[in-house]
Amino acid sequence: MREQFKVLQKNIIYVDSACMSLRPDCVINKIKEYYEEYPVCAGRSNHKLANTLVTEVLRARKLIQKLLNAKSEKEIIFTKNTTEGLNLVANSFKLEEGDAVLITEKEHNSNLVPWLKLKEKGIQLIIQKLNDDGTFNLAEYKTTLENNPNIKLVSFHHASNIDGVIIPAKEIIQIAHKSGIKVLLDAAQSLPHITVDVKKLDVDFLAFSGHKMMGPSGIGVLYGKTEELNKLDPFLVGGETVTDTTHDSVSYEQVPEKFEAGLQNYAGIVGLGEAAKFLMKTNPDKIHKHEVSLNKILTERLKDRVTLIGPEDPELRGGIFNFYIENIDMHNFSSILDSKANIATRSGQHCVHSYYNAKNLPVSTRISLYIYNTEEEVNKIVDEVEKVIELLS
Amino acid sequence: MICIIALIVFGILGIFSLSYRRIAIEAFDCVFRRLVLRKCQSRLDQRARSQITGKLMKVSKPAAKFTYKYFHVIEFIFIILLIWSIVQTGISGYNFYVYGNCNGPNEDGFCIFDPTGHNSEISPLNQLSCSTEEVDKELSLDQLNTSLFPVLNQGDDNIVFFIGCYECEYTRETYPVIKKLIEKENPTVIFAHLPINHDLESFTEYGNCIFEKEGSTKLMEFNDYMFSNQVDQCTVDTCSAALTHVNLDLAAYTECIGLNASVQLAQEQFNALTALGVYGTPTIFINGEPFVGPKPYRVYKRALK
Repeated sequence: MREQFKVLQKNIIYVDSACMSLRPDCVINKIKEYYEEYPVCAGRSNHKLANTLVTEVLRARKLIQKLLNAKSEKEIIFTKNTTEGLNLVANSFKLEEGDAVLITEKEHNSNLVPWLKLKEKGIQLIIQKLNDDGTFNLAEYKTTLENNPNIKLVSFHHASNIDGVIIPAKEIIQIAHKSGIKVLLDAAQSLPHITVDVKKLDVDFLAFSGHKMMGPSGIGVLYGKTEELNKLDPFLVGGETVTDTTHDSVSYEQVPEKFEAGLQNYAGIVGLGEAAKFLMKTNPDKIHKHEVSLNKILTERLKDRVTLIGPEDPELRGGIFNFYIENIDMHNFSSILDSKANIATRSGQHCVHSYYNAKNLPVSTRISLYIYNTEEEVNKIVDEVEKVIELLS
Repeated sequence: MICIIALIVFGILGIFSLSYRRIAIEAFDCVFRRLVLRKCQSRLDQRARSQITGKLMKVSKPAAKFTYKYFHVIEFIFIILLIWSIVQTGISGYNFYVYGNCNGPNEDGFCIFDPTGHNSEISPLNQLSCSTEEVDKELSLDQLNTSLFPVLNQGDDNIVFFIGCYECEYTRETYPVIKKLIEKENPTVIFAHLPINHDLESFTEYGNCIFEKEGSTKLMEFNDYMFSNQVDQCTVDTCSAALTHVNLDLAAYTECIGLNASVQLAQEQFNALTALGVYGTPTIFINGEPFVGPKPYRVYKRALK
């Protein structure tokens, strides 16, 4: 497995996969294949190379459909990343003044700022509180929905990037649907690590990024049920989104093309299809199990020396071990780990400033594990973390 | 504080590299913010601190701990060193401008602006057969009777006392600079031929005779010839060629240099110069200020009143 990730040969321990995963050779080769074999436009030209690309794009769409277990490949819209997918829904979902959107208190800025912006249009933003350990409280959620009949859309992260906690999405969606509320899931941190079945979840919209699931950067997906996508107005418009125009009118394409404006990131799309294939072959549930087993070692060996963000049980945190140490600058901590032992972690507030500010949490260092990390690496991380703690204390 | 160092160091490196330019911009932002009493946001100092600590940890844990703990003190020391270094660089620049040497007047240490040390190169007297011993004392014209020497140009009250040797390549290089000085600034220039080679001693006498008989214009012509032609000994041929070039009669001047008075004058001149402590050519005094070695024009010009 590890030999497929060339960068690991540089003697580095990479545990920043929640930010950006590494790519296996097959994905890189697929991108290379696009540039070498059919580096053209799809859907506009009618030559052999263009036809090859059209087939490859369709193949990628179908692979992602399969990964999500979506009904049709037409429910797969290519975006730049999760942020763009979320923005697309925020700007296209029919919300009127006085309507409300519900998010949790632990959302990535990508699932907070688009809604904050809608406040200018009179759309209310309601924040769902979580348990103290960051886990989801279904009872409180029900109460929130009962108390706020103006909620029209629930937009939650599926898995958190700061503590790895996965919310009970199926139950959340069921409850929302009972009240006629649509649900958008930010699956950027869940899809690369667990099986996400949109049919079983019955989710209305779901967005994720390629770069966190071993795919290329600059490519993402917004999944939407066909009937829900049809209700959305296009957000970005222009070339490829229309069937015809006059100087006074426009006829839009059907989904998914309606939402894919301009020349697409074809290298990204075919690479993402390959990443989806790789992910299915690897089996996301096995990935999750592997991450939890590594996280158990980290938790067991470090829990008494650091303050963890999130629940103590590693089963609930997947591959995330996010921590801080009182009176130690965690930016410096991460930087020392990097320069001393080639351990790539991330420090900061991880784009969830609002949660850190609300909970008065200091900057933290996040270790985010993935398929290519090993037990040996984790033990080395613990050894080095202990040395740095000793040095800085 | 390390941002100040980073700004200077990476500002220079940034001219050549984009990656260093990025750090320089961060450092500038940090310094600017500090100047307006705001917090540095780039954390450049902390990044440097932790990266240095991390690298040191590989070598010595106590050293890493010490560095991390006393980083601000170390930063302060480096700042002091930086300021000292900048001041020294400024002084060196000033010295180079004024004396043609970073280390001050007539010093021969390494100079970054003149790495080959060309501006201080001389033809030493003590390495040649005719040489005199180097006198380790401050060069001064105070005790010298300058009336012993021919005046090359009678100009204003700026006095240039030009000691050179016809064979010395550095004097040959300096001569056109002195001529330019004469042309543009018109100082009074006294010329003293100090032969670094016994074979050239007769030329001193020829020069004196030419000056006595023909005046400074002819002496200038003679010097023009001598400094533009590599003449390393005074034979019948070389002397004849030099005198013929300036339309003078070899026989008459051969007679002149044979006179006791001529020999005595040349000897007095030589003694007077060696008594000064001159240890090589060219040595030029401008209004009493000595310059050893071939200096740029600006150095000589600046020394004029």
